[in-house]
Amino acid sequence: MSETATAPPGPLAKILTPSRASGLRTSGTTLASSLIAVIIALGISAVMLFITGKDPVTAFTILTDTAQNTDKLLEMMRRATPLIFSATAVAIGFKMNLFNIGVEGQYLFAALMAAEAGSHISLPGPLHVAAILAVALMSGAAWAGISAYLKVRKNIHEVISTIMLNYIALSFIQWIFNSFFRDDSVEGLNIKTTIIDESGRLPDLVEGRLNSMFVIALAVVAIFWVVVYRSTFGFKLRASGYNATAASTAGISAPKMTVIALLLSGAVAGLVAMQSVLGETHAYGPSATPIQLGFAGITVALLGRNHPVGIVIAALLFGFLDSTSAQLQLADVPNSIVKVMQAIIVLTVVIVNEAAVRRTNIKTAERARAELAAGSGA
Amino acid sequence: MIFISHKLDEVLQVSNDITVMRQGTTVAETSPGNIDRSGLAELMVGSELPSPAGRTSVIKDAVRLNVENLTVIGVEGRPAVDDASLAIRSGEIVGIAGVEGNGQYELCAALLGLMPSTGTVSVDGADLTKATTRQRHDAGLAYIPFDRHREGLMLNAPLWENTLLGREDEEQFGKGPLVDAASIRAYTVDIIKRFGVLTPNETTPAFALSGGNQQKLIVGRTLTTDPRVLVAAHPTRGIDVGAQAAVWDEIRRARDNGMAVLLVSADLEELLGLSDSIAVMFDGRITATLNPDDITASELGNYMTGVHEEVAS
Repeated sequence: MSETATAPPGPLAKILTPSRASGLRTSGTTLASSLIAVIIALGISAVMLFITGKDPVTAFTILTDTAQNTDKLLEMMRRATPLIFSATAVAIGFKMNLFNIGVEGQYLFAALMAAEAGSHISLPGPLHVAAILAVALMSGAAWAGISAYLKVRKNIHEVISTIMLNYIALSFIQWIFNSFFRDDSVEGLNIKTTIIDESGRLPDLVEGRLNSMFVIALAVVAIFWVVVYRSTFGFKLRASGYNATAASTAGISAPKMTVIALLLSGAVAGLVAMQSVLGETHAYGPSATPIQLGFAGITVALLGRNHPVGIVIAALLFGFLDSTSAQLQLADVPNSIVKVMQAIIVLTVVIVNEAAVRRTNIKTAERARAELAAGSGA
Repeated sequence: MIFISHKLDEVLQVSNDITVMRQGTTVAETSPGNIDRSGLAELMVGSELPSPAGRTSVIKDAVRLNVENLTVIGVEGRPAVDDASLAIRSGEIVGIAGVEGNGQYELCAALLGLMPSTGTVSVDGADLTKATTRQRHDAGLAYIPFDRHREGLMLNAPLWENTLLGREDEEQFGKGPLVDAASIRAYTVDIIKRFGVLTPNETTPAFALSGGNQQKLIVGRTLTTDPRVLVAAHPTRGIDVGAQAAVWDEIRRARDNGMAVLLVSADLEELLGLSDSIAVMFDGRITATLNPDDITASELGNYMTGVHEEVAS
């Protein structure tokens, strides 16, 4: 009961109280085990660098130098922004054991639709941006909605349908871009949709370094946290993930939750390329719009254990490693080593966390028994 | 050899010496010759053992659950429940006896709207044939599931979230779109106290509890909705005699207040002791309706295996 006594006063109390003590304990364990995992991963990477004839000391000096460079840290945040969106999109599905592998197709489709729509709209500043974001949200949701329909109505597993819809999206996007949306006045390789007007652009937080999309990403993560962990809808979502049979026995409609979860996941996926569309290129272009961020999001979500705070930290870590790759290449450390390091980090975090969770579970059960034994004398 | 069990008959049959433990300490040492079944049970519970028997009829005329011509097509394409009809009145417990796999699960699942079926189901006159599971809950149809781990609990979630399961849309547990955690936690503490759930507190994850205490939580969360009709499947399966008695008491108390109960059980003593009448299910059909006062466990066994049959009118 002591945790209730120290509950924060005011309107926040309701939001912050539930199982705070055990929650903090769990997040503490997760954070500690993740840190240990990252250190182990860096150790393995050092050995690997050494074996391939590179100097680990030079590589790590570059890492620590980068960590002290403001511009590099801003680049880390810039690179983390789309990863936060795609990892959140994946995590929404994961919360009810839905594996949305289709973030890639969803965000590219949304990017094309939003960029094209944005170039036709003329509205005052904030509204123009809001309209583009709305188109992105709806397009991402619509593409994910196909998988939701196939799962609920045709009983097709979402892993199959989202993977296949990635391929379909790529071809479909290519076709409509080339046939309808391409700005023919632009020559050469850098083909794009028509450039969006000044009013439909999102300003930089730090000129040329970091766009305000980063703030929107943090806001989306905060909303994700409240919705998933504090709302009634989020409870139903998590209940379906904890035990789908128990949830439907309790009257929580599995088809309905599947549809809503996939639509929300797709909507958030729609925001992945918005940093590029609203803040950088102001258009969609096959070579201008970043790709592969949907798949990276799966890794980041896994690394962040589908938790909002974990996702932000994991996205920043990946952003950091990406931002060091140029420097490392100058020091003759190939880019592939950076990718291998990312993969090793993910693997060690997953393994170490799994061990930590098992240990925590055993301890919880032991503590419950001990507290009962102590209490039964009274 | 050390043999650990809460099945008293087994213990009495196989042991030379018996040690009785309760809440982590040894409370008695004895041998099968010196003690009988009920004496052993009393040592285990620490008080006089309530038995399922002790029936006093509180049946009223009003039919609460009415099931007509219910048919469920099973996975193999043949009827798992074949044209079953039942009427359970206020304050009445109807037991379903049957060898497992004769349609009991499908009957319950269909009543709860978890499996498609034909025929009609109504509670207090309200037709629920086309209702969703949640609408059936809201109409007062409650369910203690067959398998608490598979259908009843979120093992990794704290007890208070397990109490919330199925009741998350109730106004008392919500604050606008958010869950009113303080309210559901206080409610869970009440259930823990009233139903004697042994747990450090309401934030303990469900997996840390013993089976009996998990079951008491499920019974608590179900009965505190004040259901009109309770479908109870193996309500005391796999739990110790103390928890068993507590569950029986709670079901009986709710029954005394007018709840109608459909009791599915493999424990014949439980069925004979609690039920006002027993319907036998064999191969998906209700093959007999029996009075528990006129029948022994072995006779019931003959009906369950299809040796006897007496088609209910």
